[in-house]
Amino acid sequence: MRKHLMTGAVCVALSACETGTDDASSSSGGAQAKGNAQIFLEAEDTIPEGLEPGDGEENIQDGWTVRYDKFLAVVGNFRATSSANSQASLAKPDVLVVDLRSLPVGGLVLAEFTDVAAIRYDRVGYDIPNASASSTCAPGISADDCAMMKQNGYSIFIEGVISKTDGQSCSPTQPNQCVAAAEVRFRWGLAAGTAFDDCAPPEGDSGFSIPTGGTAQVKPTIHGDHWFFTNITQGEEITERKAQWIANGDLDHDGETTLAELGQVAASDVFPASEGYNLSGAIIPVNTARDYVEAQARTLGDFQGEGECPTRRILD
Amino acid sequence: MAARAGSDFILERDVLTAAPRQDASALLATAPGVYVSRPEGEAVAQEIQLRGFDAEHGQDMELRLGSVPLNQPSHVHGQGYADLGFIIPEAVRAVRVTEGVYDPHQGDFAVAGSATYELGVPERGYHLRLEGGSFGAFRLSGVWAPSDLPEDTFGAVQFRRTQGFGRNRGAQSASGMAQLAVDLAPGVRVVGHVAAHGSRANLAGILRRDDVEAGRVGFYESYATPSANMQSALATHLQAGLDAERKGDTGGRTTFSLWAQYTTLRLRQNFTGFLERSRQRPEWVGRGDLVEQSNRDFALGARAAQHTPRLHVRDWLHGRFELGISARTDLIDQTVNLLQAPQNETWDQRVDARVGAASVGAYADADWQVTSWLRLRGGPRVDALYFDLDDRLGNFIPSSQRKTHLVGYRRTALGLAYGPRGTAELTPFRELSLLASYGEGYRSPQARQLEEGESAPFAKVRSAEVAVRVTPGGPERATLTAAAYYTSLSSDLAFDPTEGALEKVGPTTRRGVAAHALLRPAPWLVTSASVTYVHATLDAPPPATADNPDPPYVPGRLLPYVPPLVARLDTSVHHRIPLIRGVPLILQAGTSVTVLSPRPLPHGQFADPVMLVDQRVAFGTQHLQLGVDVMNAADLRYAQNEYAYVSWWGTSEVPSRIPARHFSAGPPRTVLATLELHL
Amino acid sequence: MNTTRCICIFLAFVLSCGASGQREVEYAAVGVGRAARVVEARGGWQVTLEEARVALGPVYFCATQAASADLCPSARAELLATWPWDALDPRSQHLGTVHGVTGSIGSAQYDFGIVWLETDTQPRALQGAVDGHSAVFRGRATRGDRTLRFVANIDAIPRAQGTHVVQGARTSADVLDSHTRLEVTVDPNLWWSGVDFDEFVDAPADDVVVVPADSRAANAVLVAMTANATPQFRWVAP
Repeated sequence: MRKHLMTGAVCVALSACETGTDDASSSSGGAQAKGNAQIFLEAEDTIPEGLEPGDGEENIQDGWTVRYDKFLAVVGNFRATSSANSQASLAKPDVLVVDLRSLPVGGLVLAEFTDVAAIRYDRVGYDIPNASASSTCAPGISADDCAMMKQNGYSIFIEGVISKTDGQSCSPTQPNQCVAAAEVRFRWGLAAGTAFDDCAPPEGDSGFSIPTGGTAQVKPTIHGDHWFFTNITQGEEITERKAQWIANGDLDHDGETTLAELGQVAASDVFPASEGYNLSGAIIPVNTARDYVEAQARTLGDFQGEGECPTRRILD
Repeated sequence: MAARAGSDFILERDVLTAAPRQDASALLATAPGVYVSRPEGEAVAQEIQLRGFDAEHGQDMELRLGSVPLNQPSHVHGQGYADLGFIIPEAVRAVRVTEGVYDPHQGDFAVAGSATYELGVPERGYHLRLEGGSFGAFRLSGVWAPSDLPEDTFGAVQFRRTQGFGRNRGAQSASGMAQLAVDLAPGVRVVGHVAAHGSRANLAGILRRDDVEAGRVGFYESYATPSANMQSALATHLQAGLDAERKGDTGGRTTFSLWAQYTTLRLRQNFTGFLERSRQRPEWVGRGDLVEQSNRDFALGARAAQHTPRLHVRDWLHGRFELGISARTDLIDQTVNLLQAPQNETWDQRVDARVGAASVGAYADADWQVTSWLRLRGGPRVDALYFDLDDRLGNFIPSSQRKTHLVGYRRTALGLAYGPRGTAELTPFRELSLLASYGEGYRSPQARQLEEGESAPFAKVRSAEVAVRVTPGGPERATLTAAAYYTSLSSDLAFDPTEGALEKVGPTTRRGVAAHALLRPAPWLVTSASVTYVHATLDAPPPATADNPDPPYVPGRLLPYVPPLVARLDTSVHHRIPLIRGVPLILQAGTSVTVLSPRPLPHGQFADPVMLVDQRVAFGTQHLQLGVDVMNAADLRYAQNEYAYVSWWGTSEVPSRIPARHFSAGPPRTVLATLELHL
Repeated sequence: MNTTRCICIFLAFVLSCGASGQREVEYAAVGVGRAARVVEARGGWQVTLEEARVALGPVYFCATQAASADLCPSARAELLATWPWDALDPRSQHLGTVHGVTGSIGSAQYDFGIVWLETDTQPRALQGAVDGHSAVFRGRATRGDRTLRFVANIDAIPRAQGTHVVQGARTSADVLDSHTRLEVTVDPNLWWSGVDFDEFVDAPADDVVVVPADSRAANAVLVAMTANATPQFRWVAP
């Protein structure tokens, strides 16, 4: 009898040895805990408010003021998985055509996930894809704008103006040949579909965590000022903002800089290293100023405000 | 005090004083599988490794002084930070080390195990001890223990000072403790104690091994830059506790404890040289990675328990129950800044937070004898932890962004942890016990890592052990223990020198065996010897980060920094030799030997093995004794701790960004003359 | 002491078993240039290089696809040695030894012999720079019967303290062990395809044009070196 009991006790102990480790959620006991996640789309404040000239790091350094009249984007295909739990996966393949200047103050709900595993999802990504017929027009975007995006297959469309009282438009190849240009308009549509992955908040681990019985608020964030950066930022935005190159790109001096004109401007002519420009790190070659616009359009997807999605992939 | 598992050890005073100990934390080293070091100087908590866990400053080991828990939740320098430096070794009556989580009394941070220091001075009288020797070391300790008062009533002080064994290693400290036990009425006893401590130390810091090997910096030196030479730490500790016990007429017992604790730490360390960039002003870079961490924690807590009388159900079935609760609340202020030496100008702010933490725990504990040969102990434990975080730098706005809100991020979280703990002890013969134990414990999270509403993800530990204990001739003569154990941890932490704090590394598992022998073959001889082997592995890839989205992982990967084998020997001779006129000459000689096998390091490397020998010789009369303590008698040049990370100290034309081996030098041979007066 | 040493060696042997995850690796790096050829530059100019010496390094390979000071605190591999090499020589030239650890590589950040370290108040050329420059070129540009001989000293200067002149350069590899070799390929001819020699068309016919550092031509070469025709990194069998 004693022998049986001793054996039994040892077996109990050893069988306990076979229990695996668990993740944080189940560690709080019992069955897999559940929670919810709301995925909001947030537009950086530069999109509705533009950028001001000045000496501050957040200002346009060369005196131009930037205003957007239209900032449309296609956003969606949100996904999140857990490295620690291959069964846990969140995905919403829908894509929305969004007017980022008319988002609700609290952000636009891109996706909602209810009663999902309350764990940390450390592999998070979303797309800014090219619009297609299957894209959905989000609330707040006009039917015409949405149709235009779909028709042209754009991922991003921006329209606006840069202004400077004593502004000039100078020849990219003859910098001393300038004409007055107090305002220069731009109206650019780009099929620069890009996937953004491995998103991480400004601090802490990648992804986000869903609380047990609660709701995680997750914010893919679209930035609106990367065209004005003097470099292709990787991580922390150690950069300056300048807009003179847009004015210089108005080759015919008609008050509007078109993408076609930018396609004729060599990047090296308007982005001199002597003014702090550095074009390394783009996921496409930057031969022209138009390429620069597209390269920066492929960096707009951020996460939780100033967090990064450092893995970027071109989408067809 | 009955053992709760095969690896539940009570270290008595004769073993604890067998060999010289640097401070009270070193008393733990006698327990099997424990290695204790102080690589960050006297004012920073000891680092403990236990059964394959790198418990750092306490993250995996629950530390208590009597009923007062010492681990600090959400400490800026590491979860569970607990500095044992304030405890005066002369006032320690015994140390109980429970390896594993098998006792419902074990609370937060009992991941690898627990240790409880019991205060008391069995040798009554007035004692004065002076030590002085190598590197300008000086220590004075005094103990007041009137013989007409019980042994848990005493007062003790100690002062320490040293120039340090190398550049920038000077330190000073002072401690005071007092405890008073009063029997208020028959069966009612109250014990109150206070302790105060202050310590300041300069730190030499961590060195790159390649710089030492190339002769660019000496083994015991520090880098000759102001940023390295401004490394220092200041710690203070003040605590008071009151324990009350009432014994009932029928054998029941009620206990109640109330305690308060205020601790501070201001720590300045530069691990990485000149790599950091200011978050506040990104154009500021390379001003020296002198990270200043500050933590102030005011904690209040209480414990209460009701023990039933022994219940006799049948002749073969009898036992008792215990129901207990514990509660604590902490108000923690913590900051992390980057300083520029030599004026310590602040060039970045990393953390400025106030944490309100509270916890409530409850347990039930049964201790039942089922037949004469089977004893069952254990029960469930549940804990709830609350966090209210005011992260004053949360929602940080980079300087390159327009200010669209006020910086700050307040968030709250709550989590529950529960699980069973228990041990079955079979005693087929009086001198043989077989024990099987299982338990589930937890470690609370660092509050700053929590998101709003997150269910306070506890690190969950599951621990199991089978052991055999033999006591030939009775436990007072010899106790031999052999154990095999398994421990899994759902989320382990490892020290990240870049932040000077702990970072998650993922789930881990330990499988090990341990053997321990405690022998007292004669009244004048005591020997404690142990060997512990552990296979500690990482079970899943570490959490992904933006800079490392796909961390490499090999199944079965060894946990770095944990020595697979730890062996320890303590032996002491304490003899009284009759002399002329009946005055006995007291002769004491003791030795301890610590062996650490090569510790795995990241990237397939192994640290050098370590074998340390400490010796003590003393002789004299009952009232006056002279002696010599020698630590690291073989004068081994060894690394107390080794790390692998990226640093740059300007010792090469361009910086390497591959993790390199770094170490903190262990003390060389230290010789101290001792003088003891006993009245 | 000998006994202790024996015990230690024995322990090291017995206990050093087990997987350890990433391992240190070390392998050679070679540079492979492209022979001089005529390339068409802007404005119809035909450019032929006669000399192209380049200093590449230090180079850091990172796990992320966005290597930068911020996103690559710890590199997977690095080539710290920097010295001038002939970028017009298609033969393999030893560049140094790559040190690192096993694992996947997603991008690189690097300099061309001029660094702006965290502790430097201004950029400085490494000892391995080309006469103190990132690259030195000599060649000729021809359009019709007009030939311009030119020399250019190009300085690729990091734009901020503690950064590299090239960040986030996508490259992909999974280094499993030291049984590999890093092959760095550059085509300096392409670096001149974006240059507009009309900027110098007024130079005297017999003069050798010294391309100014602040000229559009120098910037075009810089943009090519750092963004559009960057060195290509390949891990090949040794």
